[in-house]
Amino acid sequence: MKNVASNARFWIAGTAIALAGVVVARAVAPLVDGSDRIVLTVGGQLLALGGLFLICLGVRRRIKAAAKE
Amino acid sequence: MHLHDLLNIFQGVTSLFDSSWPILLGRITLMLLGMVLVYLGKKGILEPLLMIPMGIGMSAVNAGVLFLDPVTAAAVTEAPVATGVATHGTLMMAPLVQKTDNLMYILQIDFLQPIYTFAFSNGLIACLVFMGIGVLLDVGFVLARPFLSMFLALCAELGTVATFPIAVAMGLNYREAASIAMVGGADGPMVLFTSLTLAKELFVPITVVAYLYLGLTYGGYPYLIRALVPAKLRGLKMPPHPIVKVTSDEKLAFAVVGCTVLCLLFPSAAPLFLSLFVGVAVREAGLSYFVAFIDGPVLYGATMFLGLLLGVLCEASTILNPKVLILLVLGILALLLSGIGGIIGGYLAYFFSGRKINPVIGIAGVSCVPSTAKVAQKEVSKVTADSIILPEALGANISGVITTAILTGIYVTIIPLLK
Repeated sequence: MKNVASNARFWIAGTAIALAGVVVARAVAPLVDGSDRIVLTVGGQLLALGGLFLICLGVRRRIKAAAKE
Repeated sequence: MHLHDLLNIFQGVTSLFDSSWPILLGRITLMLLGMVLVYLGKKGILEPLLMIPMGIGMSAVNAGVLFLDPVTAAAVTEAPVATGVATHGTLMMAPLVQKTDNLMYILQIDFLQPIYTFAFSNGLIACLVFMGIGVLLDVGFVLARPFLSMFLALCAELGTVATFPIAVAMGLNYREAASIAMVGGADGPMVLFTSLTLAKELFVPITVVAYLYLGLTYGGYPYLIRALVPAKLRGLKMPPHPIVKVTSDEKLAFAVVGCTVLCLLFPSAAPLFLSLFVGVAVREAGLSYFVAFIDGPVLYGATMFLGLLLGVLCEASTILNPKVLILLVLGILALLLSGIGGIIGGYLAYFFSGRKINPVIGIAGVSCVPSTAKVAQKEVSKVTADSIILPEALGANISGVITTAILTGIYVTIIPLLK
């Protein structure tokens, strides 16, 4: 897990953003009615997927840095 | 001995001529189609692992129709059968039986019924195939090139998204439209899962159409590539990449986080996500005994029985549905649109990268792992033998599996809410 730990910022931020997206889509959106509900559901899902994408970016960054060295 | 006794001995033939004209023609056509599928599978034109059991199952089930005894007939039709009424059926499977008592009776009569009831109709077999796909996937390709992989995969979902409104316009309801639109994702287990969840009454024709067309991608997509990408661009060499690799720790951590987040987000598709990512996790954790087990007996066993059950489900009276023609048109449209979407994505990547990325890799965004990636590499190699695009193509291919699984989750979650 050395490479994960050395890149912890991206892993923690990505996971936190993804979980925040889950909370918005699954917990907050059902409390709202009408079109706001759809907006919150889709927004939450995109935020969650964005969190996973941030982790991918972190790994890509590490690979690029390691390649330069 | 009377003629009547002779006809009773050869009930396969007698029941054929005792059927109505559409069923008679349907049975003969499906018997011949089954033989053609076996031939095309043996020749390698269609996927042999799936088509050979499917083809022989299709021929056998349409040939093996007999007159059921009154007790079995009552269990199969789930209604009392009057004396003297001849009910047609087989001793292979009765997919439409639902009542528990009838099901318990049929489980003791039809030899494939246990596998159908306990592994097929609940989606287990689709999940086992997905587990096998997970073991074959290297998510490192996605982690190394997230922008390109995800972008191409999203573009290649054009068919999955665009076919839905077209299907609704052609008269299908939302559930049926979403199920047939999933063919555009080019992932058999996900079409099976979606149609079982959303359109159980049409899952047989939808799944059969999906698997038949998926077999055709290997033969059809090269023509699409040649039609849309000129030879000069097909032969384009990709820029060199750093040799540093994504470690198995990173891939394992990503599998755990990704699986948890996606299951939280789309619980209806959680069995599929779990199956995919448990395969990835087992591979990256280096559990070689599990990898050998999932990669061998589980994947090949599930594929074999999936093909056989799909073939046996193609009994004329089950599959002949007025909507089959619409499904055939929509299925090919979905796959065609996804292929075109992927190539459009490839062109956009080509232009945005300053004409460095080979546009052919776009087709690999269609998630038929690893067929579309192999097709892309093959077409590029035909023009420039030393041009290697496989790593980028595999990244798009694996992202395609993930985006298709996400779209499955979106459809099975949102469609039941629509009225």
